[in-house]
Amino acid sequence: MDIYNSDLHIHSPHSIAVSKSLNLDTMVQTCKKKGLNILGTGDILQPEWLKYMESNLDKDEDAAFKYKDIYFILQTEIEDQESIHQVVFFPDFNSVREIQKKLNPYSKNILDEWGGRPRVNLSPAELVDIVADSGGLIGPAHAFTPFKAIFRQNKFKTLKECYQDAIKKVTFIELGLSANTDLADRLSCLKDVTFLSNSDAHSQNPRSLGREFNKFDIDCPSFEEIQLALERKNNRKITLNLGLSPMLGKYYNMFCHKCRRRVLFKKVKKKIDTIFTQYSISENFIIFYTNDPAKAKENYIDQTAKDKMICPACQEKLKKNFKIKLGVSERIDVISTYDKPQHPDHRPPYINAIPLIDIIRSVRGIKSTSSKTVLNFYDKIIKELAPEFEILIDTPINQIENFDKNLASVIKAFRNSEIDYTPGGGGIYGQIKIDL
Amino acid sequence: MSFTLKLENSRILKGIVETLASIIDETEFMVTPKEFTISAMDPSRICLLKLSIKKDNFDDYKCSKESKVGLNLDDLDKILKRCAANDSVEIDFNEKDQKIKIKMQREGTSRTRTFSLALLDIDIEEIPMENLLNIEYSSKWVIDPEFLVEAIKDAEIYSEILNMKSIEDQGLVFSSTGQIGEMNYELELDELIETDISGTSSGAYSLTFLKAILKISSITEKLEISLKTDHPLKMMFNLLEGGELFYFLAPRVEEADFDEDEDMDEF
Repeated sequence: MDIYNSDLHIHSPHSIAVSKSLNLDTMVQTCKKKGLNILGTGDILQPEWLKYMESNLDKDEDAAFKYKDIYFILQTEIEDQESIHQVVFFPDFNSVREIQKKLNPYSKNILDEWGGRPRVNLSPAELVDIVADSGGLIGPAHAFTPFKAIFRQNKFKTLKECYQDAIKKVTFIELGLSANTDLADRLSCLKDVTFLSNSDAHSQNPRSLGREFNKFDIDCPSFEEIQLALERKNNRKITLNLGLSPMLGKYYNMFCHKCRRRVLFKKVKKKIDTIFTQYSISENFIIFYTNDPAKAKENYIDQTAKDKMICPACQEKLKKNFKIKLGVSERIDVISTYDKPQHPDHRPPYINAIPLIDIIRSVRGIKSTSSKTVLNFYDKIIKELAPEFEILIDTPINQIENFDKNLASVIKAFRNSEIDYTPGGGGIYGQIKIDL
Repeated sequence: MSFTLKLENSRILKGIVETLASIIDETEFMVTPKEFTISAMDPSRICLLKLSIKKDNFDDYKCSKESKVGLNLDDLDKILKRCAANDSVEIDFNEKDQKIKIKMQREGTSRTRTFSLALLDIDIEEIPMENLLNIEYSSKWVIDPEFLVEAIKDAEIYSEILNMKSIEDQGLVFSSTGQIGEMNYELELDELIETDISGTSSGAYSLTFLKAILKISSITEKLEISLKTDHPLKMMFNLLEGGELFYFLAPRVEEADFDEDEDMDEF
């Protein structure tokens, strides 16, 4: 058995807001920098992308698809009639075409140029049945995000509610960037499913592709072996989920549906014993200052879950009422079975990671994710030291110090769980707070 | 449980409901044998109000047992807007109906119109008002509401915030600052009806929420404002023909923003 680092959910230039330069060559380049071995193809039901993959991927002796020295799993994301995104894996190109044909009568865009993530007029259970009957694997994508997700506000609270009798055919869920194992294992309904941590990348930028991945302990990088690992059979399994620290995700914290400001609670400097004290509104945040922020937040979440909370910033600036929406962390608070995670025995550890590019940006004080200075520095350190996740997790600190002292001190703080975060939310990533 | 509330002149009730409807969507009417009250916090968590009208301030008041009814204020406002200023208005509730009846009668005629409004099963938060009502404010004054309305209109030119400052032996300053300039509105002590100002207090408050509550000024006999640095602004409206409305407004403070970044990924 071998270990394969696998990011099994990405997109293609046939989905909206995807980099035009995302292709097999650029994917492979990034995989090498990140230390990835297996990648999802993304958007495999889209006819042009299917043709591109079919003509470029080779099958090796284990029936695993390969381009250069990176393996690929045929993969797409489908939106069902409940507006839930589902990740789908296919055993081979025949099954892709078979499922494409079965879904076509229920979809207006599955064969379109921009139908990378097709929408089908089928219930989650009907979609699961079609995919599973043709040998595919399916599970909910970014399960807790406030949009297009199974557990979003005012949607489902358990897998059973969503999939009904088809639940037996759902073996995994994808956590999404703003959730980790500790958050997801507060729901008892998830104890039997395998968790996937995938990037859902829309670009080959190393900050996106492979920012989340799974370590698969399998015999070879084929669909059959991946299936066995997801079903935790024949000793095949995922041994590690590595993903963004949830606070860095774009939907961790509650936010205004309109202006996207995040709602935070902080302790008021001067103790005032009343139900409310002060608030501030800035470009990205609404902050309530109270004596007991935890209690105030709990009450606020309770009212937000009932769709009752209004954004004060929009009221003041636009004179209109827009609702506050729960982020991933608050939605889990609302639907969770347990206050603390209850990990089943089969659950692998989860590493809350920070993309190396984010660390470099913070150390260098650069805001842009596509800054040439940052990308050149990233390429240099990868070339001279090790792939990204080895640097983050394994490379001795003194070796990193020789390269850059400030970078080493942040990576050391990360390894010691000493990093503070500004939580993401409303579509804006969280940030690390560093004090060099 | 049942109650009847009647006012010979609908103007006061119309004014109250119109004002509250601009701040809160739903609320609970609490009617006890002694008084009628509404306590509510607005859904953005910026202001809190408590209205109370004693039994004697109604022309007819029947209530033998405490009753609570949940109502949509927008709908009630629409109904009351059908009422002429000098119509009498009567609100009746009987537990078995699960709705309230609003009866309007034109002055000097027997012509009556009756509207019903379904009750809402609303989950009202318990609002602990006591601590707020017990705050000892360092600065308190009675003011003609028109001065405040004027200051709000002036401030709107520049920002969403009205700054208030009270200075012992001097008076009040309302101000606002924006990118295009700033305004100052100074009121010396002799412009104020009553004053009790110790030291200096200040705060910044949302114009939106000040404007919303000042809709009630047309039925206000006396407006008392209390200010204390870092505390909610307290406004007490003594209503014409009896009743009082307490309004607490959270101060807005400035906080530097964090740097942000975005990229093209959706989730």
